Amino acid sequence: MTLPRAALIFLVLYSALFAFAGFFATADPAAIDASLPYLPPEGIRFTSPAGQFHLRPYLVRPRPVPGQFAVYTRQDAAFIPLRFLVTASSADTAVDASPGNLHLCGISGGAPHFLGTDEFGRDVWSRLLYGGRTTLAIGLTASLAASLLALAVGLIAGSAAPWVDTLLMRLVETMISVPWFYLLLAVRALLPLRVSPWVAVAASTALMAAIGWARPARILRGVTIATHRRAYVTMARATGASPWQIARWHTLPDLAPQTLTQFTVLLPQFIASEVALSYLGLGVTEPLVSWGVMLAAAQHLSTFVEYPWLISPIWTMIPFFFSVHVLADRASSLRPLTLPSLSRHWYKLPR
Amino acid sequence: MISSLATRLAHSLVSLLAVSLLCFALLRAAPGDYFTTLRLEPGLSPQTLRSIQQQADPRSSIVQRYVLWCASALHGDFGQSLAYHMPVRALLAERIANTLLLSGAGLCGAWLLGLLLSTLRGRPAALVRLFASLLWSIPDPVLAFLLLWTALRLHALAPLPIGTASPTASWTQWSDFVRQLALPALAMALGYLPLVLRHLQGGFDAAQHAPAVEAAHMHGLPQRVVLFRYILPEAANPLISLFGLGIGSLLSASLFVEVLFGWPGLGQLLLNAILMRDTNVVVAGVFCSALLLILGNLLADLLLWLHDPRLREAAS
Repeated sequence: MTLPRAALIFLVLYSALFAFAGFFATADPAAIDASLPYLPPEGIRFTSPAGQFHLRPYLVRPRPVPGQFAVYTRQDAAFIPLRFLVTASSADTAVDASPGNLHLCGISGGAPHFLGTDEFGRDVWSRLLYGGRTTLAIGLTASLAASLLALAVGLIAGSAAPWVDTLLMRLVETMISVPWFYLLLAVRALLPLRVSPWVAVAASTALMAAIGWARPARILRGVTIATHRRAYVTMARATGASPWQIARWHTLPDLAPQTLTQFTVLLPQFIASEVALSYLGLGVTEPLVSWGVMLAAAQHLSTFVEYPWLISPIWTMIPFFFSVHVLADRASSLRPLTLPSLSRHWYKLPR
Repeated sequence: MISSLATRLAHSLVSLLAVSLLCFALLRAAPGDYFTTLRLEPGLSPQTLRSIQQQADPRSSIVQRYVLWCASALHGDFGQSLAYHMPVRALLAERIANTLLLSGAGLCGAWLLGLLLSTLRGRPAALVRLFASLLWSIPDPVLAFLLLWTALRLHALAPLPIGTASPTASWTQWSDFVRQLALPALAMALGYLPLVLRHLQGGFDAAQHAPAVEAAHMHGLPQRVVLFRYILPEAANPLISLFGLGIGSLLSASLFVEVLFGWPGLGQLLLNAILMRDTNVVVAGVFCSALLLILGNLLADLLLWLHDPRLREAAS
């Protein structure tokens, strides 16, 4: 198996983890448990406290030290048997509101905290999954929108009248000559600072798309112009193909690999921007959860040191970035898209 | 041949004008301003507020205000910061110096490290390639986070000063200051390194097989002469562009690193200004960084033009 194929398969499986966050999560990401703040990640054992081997794993929950905030001891830790494929009602877990929802695993009377809990006792593992869903959705939507916009602008600038080209490219140059993250922040300042979380999500997505298209558009315009110089386009023009037909049958297939490459380049950039924006308090906000929101909770360096499981979104992101990077490398070496129908003559030759 | 440079300059000026218009329009359109938060202040009487407002805003039309702003910006005067009660210029000058120091150190570090690493051959070169590829796939903010995490893990072994930067320190505190600069500068350098490495390695690999270089080899010229007279000029073009881009992004590349490491630079100032709706500071900050970006591109064009006789011939 080639590396790009492995990366693709990994990426699909990995995304499924976040797409079906409800199944893999063990708790409601917003459920607060005041009795377990900053709980360290709980271990899983296959041996009972007596030392006997059991096929059913135990969750080892540290015991809070009475009278102290967020201090736990491994002595006399509770061994809680883990149960698989539980529904919310049967396991009596604190999973999301819809009862009968199937979950991969749970324990009776509470929720397992595989990656510990945050300041409010919220389950980090579940927040990681639900947060990943938000972050990836924002990143995917924004990069899809930006690459489609870039495709449209590149195609128009490359094939329309020269004055349209000049106008569009001046616009692109202006947008490129403003540092793009500064521009993102400045445009974000247009909105009131405190907006409802969903508006904030929509605004971050729209802003990234509205600002990120400029650079890819310039590259795609270059490809369009190069295609238009090809002999087969000249021939198509000579035989009376309309500009629309040329775009449909020659330019767009030529642009496909480069558009895909630009998409894969934009995706990690936008995911990182979501994280940065939310970290700075200008992106996704509570009560919604995203990777940036989770990292914003670790803003104080002492939190960073004492509760290192709070920065788990970082470790989750990195395999994602690696595999997207491998795919981006592969996409840039793709050949132009050829459809089976392209081998036929689609336009009528003059009789 | 001068005319092509003049055209380029004119394009830059048009871009600059558009940028200023953009900044100005964006911030005029922002709902709420510095006074909306000031209005919530219980200790401030309405009269005082009105007098402050009148001082800041001499009631002119937007066009007038824009022209006035452009005129004063040309003199380097960006008005008064409403939140800091001091001229934006003084505020910006200090912060810009800090940011230039940070990203300048990062940029130099990345280039030095890149040049050093790109001289490797064989197995180490393959390792460097892998390392650069891994670095390349991690976006800068995440990389900065990772570095901070690593530094904090090592904190127990060798105490590192984090989040307590005071670049206004005097000469006696110089060593302390350098220690504070080290981590954020390293974060900048690591973010920039893969780009440099990729250009350096790609450029040199391509140049080694250029016809002129192969001809020089066949003529039996000494290795050193071939390197300096043939390979370097051949590989220089993309490096010059990259260098210009690096100079241009000195002011704008470090925002997240500054916030994360608590470095009092332009990015942090800008973020606070946005949060406090301090319009003058935001516009000035964005404008200055855009100006540097445009100048950097212009510098790259000029250097390319000086370096590459083909460009000069094509223009004339």
